Amino acid sequence: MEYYSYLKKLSNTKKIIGYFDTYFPEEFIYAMGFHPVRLMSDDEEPVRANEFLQGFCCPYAKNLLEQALKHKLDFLSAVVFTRYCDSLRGVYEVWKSEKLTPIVEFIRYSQVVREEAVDYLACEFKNVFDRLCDSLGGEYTFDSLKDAVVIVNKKRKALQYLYAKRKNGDPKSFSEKFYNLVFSATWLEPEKFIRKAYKFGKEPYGYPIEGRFNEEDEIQTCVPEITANLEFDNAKVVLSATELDNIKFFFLLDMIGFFVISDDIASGTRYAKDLVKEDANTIDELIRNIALRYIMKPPCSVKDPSDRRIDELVREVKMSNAKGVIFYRTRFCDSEGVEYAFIKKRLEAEGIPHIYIESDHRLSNYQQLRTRLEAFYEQIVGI
Amino acid sequence: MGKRLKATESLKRLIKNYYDEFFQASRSGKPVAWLNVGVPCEIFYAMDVFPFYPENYGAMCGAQKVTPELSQVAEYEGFTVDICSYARANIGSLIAKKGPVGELPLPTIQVETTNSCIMIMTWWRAVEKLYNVPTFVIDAPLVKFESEGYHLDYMESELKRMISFIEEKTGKKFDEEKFHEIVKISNEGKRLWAEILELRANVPCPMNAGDIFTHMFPMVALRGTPQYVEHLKFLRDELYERIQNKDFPVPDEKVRLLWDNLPIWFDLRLFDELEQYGIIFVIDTYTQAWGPRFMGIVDESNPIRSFAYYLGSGFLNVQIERRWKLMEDLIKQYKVDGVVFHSDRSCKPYSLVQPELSKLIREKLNVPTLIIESDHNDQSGYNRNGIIERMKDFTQMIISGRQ
Repeated sequence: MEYYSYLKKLSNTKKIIGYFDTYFPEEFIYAMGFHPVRLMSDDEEPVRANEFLQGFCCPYAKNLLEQALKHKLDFLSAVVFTRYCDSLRGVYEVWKSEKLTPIVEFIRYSQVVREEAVDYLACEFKNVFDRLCDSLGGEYTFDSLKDAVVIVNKKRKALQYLYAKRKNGDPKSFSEKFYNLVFSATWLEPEKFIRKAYKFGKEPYGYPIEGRFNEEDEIQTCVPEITANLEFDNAKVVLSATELDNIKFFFLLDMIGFFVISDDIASGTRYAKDLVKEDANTIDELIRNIALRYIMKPPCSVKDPSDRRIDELVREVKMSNAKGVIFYRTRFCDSEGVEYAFIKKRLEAEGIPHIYIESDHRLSNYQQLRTRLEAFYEQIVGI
Repeated sequence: MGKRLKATESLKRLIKNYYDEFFQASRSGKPVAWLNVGVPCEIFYAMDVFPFYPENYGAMCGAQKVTPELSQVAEYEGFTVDICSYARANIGSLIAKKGPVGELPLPTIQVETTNSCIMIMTWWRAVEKLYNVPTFVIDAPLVKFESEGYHLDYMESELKRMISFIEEKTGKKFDEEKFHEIVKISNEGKRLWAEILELRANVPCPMNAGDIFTHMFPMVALRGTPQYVEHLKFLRDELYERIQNKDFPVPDEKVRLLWDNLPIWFDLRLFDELEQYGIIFVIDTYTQAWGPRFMGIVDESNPIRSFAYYLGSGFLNVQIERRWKLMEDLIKQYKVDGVVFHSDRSCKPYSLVQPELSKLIREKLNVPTLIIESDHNDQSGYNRNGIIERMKDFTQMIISGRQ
């Protein structure tokens, strides 16, 4: 997997800091001169992790532990947890007790989406990242943090650009290819990702992209991928999930004929939307701006209230004129197990067809998924 | 086997009166708040808002074995089968308009705190969205050992925000004088509870786990009321009486065990059944959540700050280091021969750390451990005989190890 070899190589020159969800403020890590990476699941079956976590733990979270126990993540200098969900909290406790990376940090994260939590979270960010500087021998300053905010904002704008291009049907790349690129935003070096993103299409059109890069030279070299047999207009769907790293799933959707026009995925649009306000005169102001973005960003179902998440999902469907929604839940995910009831209700009220599917990081029920998804395809395409 | 406490009869009356009062409040238009167990009921009693605990109601659904039936109703509406069985029972009961006490009246408001799990927050959200009930979430970020510094300041501000929310939504004012009186009563009961827990350290133990789990009810829902103190006094005196009269559930104890996690509410008789093999559960971690370590005496000179501390440092809001310390202390204090971990499918924060704790206990204290899997509230797939056989084998292993 390109991801492992890339990070392994990078770790020879830079400290790599792992994180587990998109509530992690990666800005601080760039500001320290290190490289943040969202740890992604692979299709490894849990064997060693079963010694530490029961069968009802989220398989996605368990897989991350399995990778660490099998030394696949030895390129990491530290990991930082945010709690996120009850399963990842369990993974954190094991990770820490078994000392699976030299440093294991934890942000005492807020679970609410309201401005009253911002000052608290800003204090907590400062405390945790000061401690991390001490343990890793790094430093962040007002200037380096500001630069980091700018580069992460650019990364998010590049993603917004990609999504805007896709909604307008150019390039009509396979979903597998598109999401490989989208997810690389959380592990590639930002400059490399940004270049790749702008190469992927030519000019953005659709809704305006604020502060877009002037990357004309790069854009000239771009060859958009055209998928001649794709039923672009008929098979457009929006994919809703928490994390969904297994790219085989996108391959499956491509093979059936779906075109994932947009998504409601934690590392997809929920990661791309909302920028940190760059305007700040002091480091405390800047940290507060960062905390504000992470508190108020499009929420996952582990946060409260989560209304914006459902609103954004419906908005994505309407903006992209999608024919339906595929709701993917990772087995044993409690918050999605409740949230689905409300997503279902809302989609039905809006007259948007949808399908609920459930699997694990390995897609161990692949054939069953295929049959159900084929039936949904026929339903929305009208064959 | 299953020697009953006299206090259990008085507890039944207490529960009946509580539910009568709940229905009466709902009928008469008195504000009712649904709270999760981390939210201090003392504040609600002080504001004349009736506090009702759906988790307690969930346990009642479990005890009456109606969870699978109610769960199906919730599943039909899109809630998945693998979420917490308390939540499924409660939501199913609301949708079906039926349950162990009939149709459950909806609350005026809901308050919950994230100091136990994320699941609770989504459960409260479900009721909020299904029935449009104003809901407040007390944000309680997970700590390592305890709440302190700016974390504690934040917890205090969250409690103050909660009070403003209650005032705004119910029209009831926070009565400081009444609150101070209630805090005093609450503290008196907490001292009694601590004494009751300590009495179980006696060899032989005067009270098995099934009884202590049942008698948790006043600690959960009635803190700050006169009947709560009265009941706990009665219970404490009965335990003294048992010790004095040498009247023990298992006079010839073969093994003294520690139970970790919620009980299996639909099978509390399991503990009675095991008594015939000389097995007694002398202590458990769950009742400690209301004990002096995690819900201790409130500082009467600064009660809101003190409640904020206990809320932020709640039993499931601390990390493995403190859970380990608790278990180490209990094993020593209660002369525990072995630890049984109930790996509870419906409670991830409690359960997912158990294999690691089990390893620590075996390695550092050389105390045998056993992990059994079940659910606190849903009997589907429950393997009672399998659990009993494993417990018997475990006991035999401990006894053999002594020789």
